[in-house]
Amino acid sequence: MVQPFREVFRRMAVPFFLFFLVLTTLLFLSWIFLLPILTRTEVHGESKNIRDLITYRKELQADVSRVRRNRNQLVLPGQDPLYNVLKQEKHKKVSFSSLRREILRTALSHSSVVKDAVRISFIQYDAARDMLTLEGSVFAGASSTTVLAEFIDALQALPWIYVIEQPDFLRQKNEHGEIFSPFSLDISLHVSVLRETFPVL
Amino acid sequence: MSVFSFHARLSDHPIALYMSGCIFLLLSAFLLLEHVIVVQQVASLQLPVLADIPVLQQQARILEDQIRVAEMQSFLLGNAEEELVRMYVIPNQADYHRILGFFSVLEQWIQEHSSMKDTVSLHIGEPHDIPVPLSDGSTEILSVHPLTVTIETSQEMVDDISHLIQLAGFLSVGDILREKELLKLLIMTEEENPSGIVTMEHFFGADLLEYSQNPHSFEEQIRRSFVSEALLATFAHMLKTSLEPIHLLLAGRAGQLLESSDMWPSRLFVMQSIASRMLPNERIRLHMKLEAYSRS
Repeated sequence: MVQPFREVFRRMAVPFFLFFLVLTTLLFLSWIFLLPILTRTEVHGESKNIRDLITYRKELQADVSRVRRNRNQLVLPGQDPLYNVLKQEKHKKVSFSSLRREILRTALSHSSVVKDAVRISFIQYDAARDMLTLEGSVFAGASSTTVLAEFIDALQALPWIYVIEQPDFLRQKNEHGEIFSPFSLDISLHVSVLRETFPVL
Repeated sequence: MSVFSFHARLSDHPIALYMSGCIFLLLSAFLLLEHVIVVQQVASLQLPVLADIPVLQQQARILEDQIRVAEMQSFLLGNAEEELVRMYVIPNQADYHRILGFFSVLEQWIQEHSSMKDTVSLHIGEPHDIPVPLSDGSTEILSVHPLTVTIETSQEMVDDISHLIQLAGFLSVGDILREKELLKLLIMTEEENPSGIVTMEHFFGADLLEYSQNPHSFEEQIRRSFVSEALLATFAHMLKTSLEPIHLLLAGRAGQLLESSDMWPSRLFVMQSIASRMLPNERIRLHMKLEAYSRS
């Protein structure tokens, strides 16, 4: 039983070897000669295969970008490189008036229950560090701290605000006996969204 | 040696034959895979690549034509803007009198507009030098002059004051617009009317003060040169968001004062920080930290 199996194994060895040798040779020849012929395309009188075409497209894209940069340099104002650097620096800062208007609008929208509840007395836009500082007080009687928390949540929901450092929630009484919550908020701004949202001026 | 004896000799080493056969099996699998990859690439990429090539070639031709036209235009107009920048915006000397001049115009303007109680105080700090890397790879030394400005005024002046400070140093319409807006308009020009680049260049290069005094003549040229709704809508949006506040500011008393006191073009100021504090009687104190520059 073992002997015929060994004989079959021995006799199969040569056809097995020859089959894959011939298959490899044919595939190799097809890869070298046939495939490039079948996949070539003529572009402006030049025959190119797919890899050449992709390289050619990349070269053309690079050419277009280079020529476009040259065109932009000529067409756009300000060819003084130092002036361009400083202009870009100015463009990184957004309009303080728009920023302030948006903050005051958010404060006003949280004063619906008690009129003028959120009063902002100080707004600082630190353009160099992309930070905003707000100071003020919430005058909403016993619910002043709740209104303050809602105001902070509303600010946090603005897409251009990144992080608000949580303030101390205090309740104080002024000389007229009014209960209020003073606050001071340090806000980190989401730079890219900020520049998308607000104009330069 | 006959074929039969060769076959017989080969059959004597079945293990070696199976091993070699396996190596050829792997090689043929690899080659087959290569065939599949190439056929797949041809099927999926050839058509899009072939479609892209004429478009890119046409874009390159259009851009080269635009460069020729723009070079001609630059040759005719000269480098007036560069000279203005060197003289007034980033001068070679500290030129403090133009900084002071600008803030006296600001004070006069807010006093005329608001009330005589409005005050502007300015403190100029010690200058320091910083190296600035430029786009061409070189570095230029810049003198930085820190300024601290405190203004007490009425609430309604806050927007205008911050606009005027932010505007200082910009010369032409194109300076106000962010690079993204400018490039969007240029790409739309390429697509719609490549020869319209001259009109677009003329618009971007228009002096801000001249533009503000008569915006319609500049804007009308653009509207006449292009018909694409998308381009005109982008243009209208840009006018509304970026140029309208400038037109309102410079077409009014602020523009007149800057022009009559020879403070246009003004020095370039970069805002470092700005703070507004509410004061009694609807008044406000603005505190700004700015930087002015000169070439070392």
